[in-house]
Amino acid sequence: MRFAAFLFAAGLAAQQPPAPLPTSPADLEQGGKLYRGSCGYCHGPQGDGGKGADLAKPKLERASSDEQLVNVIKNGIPGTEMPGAWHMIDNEIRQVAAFVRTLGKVEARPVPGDPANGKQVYASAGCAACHALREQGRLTGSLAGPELTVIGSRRNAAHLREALLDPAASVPDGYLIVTAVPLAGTAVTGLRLSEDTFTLALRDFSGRNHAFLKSSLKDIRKDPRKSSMPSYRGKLTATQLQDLIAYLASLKEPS
Amino acid sequence: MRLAILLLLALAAHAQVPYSRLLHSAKEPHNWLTYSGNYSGQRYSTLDQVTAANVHRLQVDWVLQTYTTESFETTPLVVDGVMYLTIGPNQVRAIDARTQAVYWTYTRRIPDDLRLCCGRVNRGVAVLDDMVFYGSIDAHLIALDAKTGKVRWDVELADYKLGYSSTGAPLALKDKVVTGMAGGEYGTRGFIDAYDARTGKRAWRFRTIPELGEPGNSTWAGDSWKTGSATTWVTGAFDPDSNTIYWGSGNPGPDWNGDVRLGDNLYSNCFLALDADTGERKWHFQFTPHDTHDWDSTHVPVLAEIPFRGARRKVVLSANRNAFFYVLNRENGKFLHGKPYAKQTWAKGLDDNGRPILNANIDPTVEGNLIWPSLAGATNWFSPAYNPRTNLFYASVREQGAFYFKGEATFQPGAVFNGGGQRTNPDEDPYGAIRALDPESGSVKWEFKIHSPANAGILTTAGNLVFTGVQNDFAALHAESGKLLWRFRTGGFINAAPITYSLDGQQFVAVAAGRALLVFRLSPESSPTK
Ligand code: HEC
Ligand code: HEC
Repeated sequence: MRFAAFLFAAGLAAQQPPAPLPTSPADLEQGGKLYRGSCGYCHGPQGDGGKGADLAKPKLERASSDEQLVNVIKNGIPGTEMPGAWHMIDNEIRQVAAFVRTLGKVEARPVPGDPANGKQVYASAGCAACHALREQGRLTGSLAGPELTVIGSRRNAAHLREALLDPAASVPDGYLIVTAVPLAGTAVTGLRLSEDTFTLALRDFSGRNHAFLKSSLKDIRKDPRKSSMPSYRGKLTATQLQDLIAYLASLKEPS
Repeated sequence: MRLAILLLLALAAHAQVPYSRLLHSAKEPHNWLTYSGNYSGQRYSTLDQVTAANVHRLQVDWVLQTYTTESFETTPLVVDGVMYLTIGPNQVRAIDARTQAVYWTYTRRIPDDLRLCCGRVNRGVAVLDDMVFYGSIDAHLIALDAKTGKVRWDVELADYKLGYSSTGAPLALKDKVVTGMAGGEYGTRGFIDAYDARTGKRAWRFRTIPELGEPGNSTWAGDSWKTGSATTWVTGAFDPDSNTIYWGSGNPGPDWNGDVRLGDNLYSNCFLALDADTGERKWHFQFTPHDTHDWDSTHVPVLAEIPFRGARRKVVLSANRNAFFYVLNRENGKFLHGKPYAKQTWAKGLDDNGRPILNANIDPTVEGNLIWPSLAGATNWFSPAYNPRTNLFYASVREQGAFYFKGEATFQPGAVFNGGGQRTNPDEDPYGAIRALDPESGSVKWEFKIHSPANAGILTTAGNLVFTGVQNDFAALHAESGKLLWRFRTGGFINAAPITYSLDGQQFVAVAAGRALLVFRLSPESSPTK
């Protein structure tokens, strides 16, 4: 009986194009509540991840279309910790999916400034020495810092301003600066590449990789409030800064 | 003569394990006969060929690759040269420990619509007579023929579609096999079951949430007792002298929203002492009444006899997920003393009966409330160990807090019923440790620091050693000082607990790491050491 009903439903679904995700504030609010109850404990309340994947990003690898998203939520991802939401009826799953889509978006408030001019500031200020952009499918620049191809989808203007003026204020995960002090020899400071109980790897500011056994180190200093990105406070005019922010904000996931 | 010995060995390859052998497992330390090595839950071995002085010569002897896609958390059993282990999501395997030749693999067909919080894991089997007992992820208990791997009987513990599952190793004793169940995030109703080992007929069921009218039921507001979880997913211990089974119980459901289940919520987060023949409750001790942080007390109860205020006392020890270390009188469940062994911000302390004296505002909130420890606890299911020679209790410790959230909690059968969640604290650099606790004082005798919260079980031996996983390394520490004596980069995360056994006069140490089982032994004295 149940099986027959299932076939019937599947047949129906095959004939109809998938309905768009709900958009009403009431649906999104309900989706948010469901998300906080069932997903937040793995994916974090803001979708920024934890035990689960980071959902607060413009493109979800396993769920780029809404249909895929609904499917991932409903059935989970076999072989991973991502469970299927067996407890949700279809309507609820669609509400959650709609809410998940809002996690990856940053408010579309118009950003003042001239993006075209900002692009030139980006080139002349030497940002490419540490950052990469994907243009026409090719990655250009350096991977010393985070890739900025879709930075405008991921971060809002306020965050971008802070990143330029006070880079140490919010260092993204994976950019910790450490200093390894060997028992013998000189200390090395750089970006932490990996660390566990017994080993530490880092890349110094000249780009050289170093690996240490912790047993050979006298001290390890970590500075979570330090950034390898220079502050551009006072180095750019107010107009240049605003244009640069407008440019970065325009770097978005093509929709 | 030679032939006779060979024949004997061949016969021994699938020997009977009557209850008397399990009872006297101390007489055969070369085998690892139960989940914790013996009934006491100590995970202590008297084998002493590998010692603090020579452990640096430990090297990999052989490896079993499993290709499992699940976290590999099995405790293998070793019986007369045969190793029995489980491989998630659905296998039991018997191999010859000398040659590593596979005798059999049992593969269960499992449904693809399981309801699980935490992966399709399994932590081991039990043996009794000529049978191997396995709790499957779809909540069945299965008896396999130890020689062939054929199913002798198969009983459903409960309906997996309602969120029930089984991940822990059963405990075989007398003529019964005792098992818990999992599913604490699905509004299940917990139990501990005993089955007749021969027939699979259920001998008794102890429900961890009392029926309407039974004592304890009134500790649940309204109908909340029907969906209060209190699962039993970690293997218990057994005291044959008093015929008592000790077993831990899990969080009340929904985990983080306590509003819908006001009251102490008995017998969630307890140690339960049950009569082994009838399943009747002798006593209970509740560690975290009305828990709203998912602090299951599903720990292996460690039974020990310790010097305590001038006398020897029979106690049960627990380093609890709630960050307190407890010493209980195991004859009556009375609290002897307790003390935090990790950072905690939820209780001022414990009163004379061991009940926590709560701090204000510790409940999860919609906005998030920062409390230590995190929901994974100051420790978790990983086996602790107790070494009678050092009289130290060894715990895998997690130093980490979390923002706890309260969410909606509407029960639907088979659906997640957790009412909230947590997120980690970005301003914290969490870490872990192995800590040695003195049971008499509850104080930390030594600690070995770990870069991230500890995640593996512990084995301790008469060789004055503590073995444990340290993320991607397998490590041996000095049992008295915690000094690192040896480590091996396994290249795979260790979530399991180690065991030790001996074959033909050679001691082995085995641990599941990454997706493989690694088996170590001492290298010959002459070979160069690293
Ligand atoms: C038990 C933890 C857990 C819960 C609960 C959980 N997830 Fe996940 N989720 C994961 C993990 C882990 C992954 C990553 C799986 C992988 O790819 O390895 C994931 C992946 C995903 C992805 C794909 C991400 C990408 O980049 O493609 C989506 C979308 C998702 N989850 C949505 C949800 C939603 C919505 C809920 C609630 C209904 C939810 N998850 C509940 C753990 C969880
Ligand atoms: C010396 C290397 C270096 C240079 C030069 C540099 N950055 Fe960075 N940048 C980094 C690093 C490393 C990070 C990540 C750590 C941090 O945020 O402190 C970062 C972070 C950022 C972020 C934040 C990214 C995020 O995900 O939040 C932005 C935006 C950014 N940089 C833009 C720029 C721009 C625009 C320029 C040129 C004006 C520039 N950076 C120059 C190294 C550099």
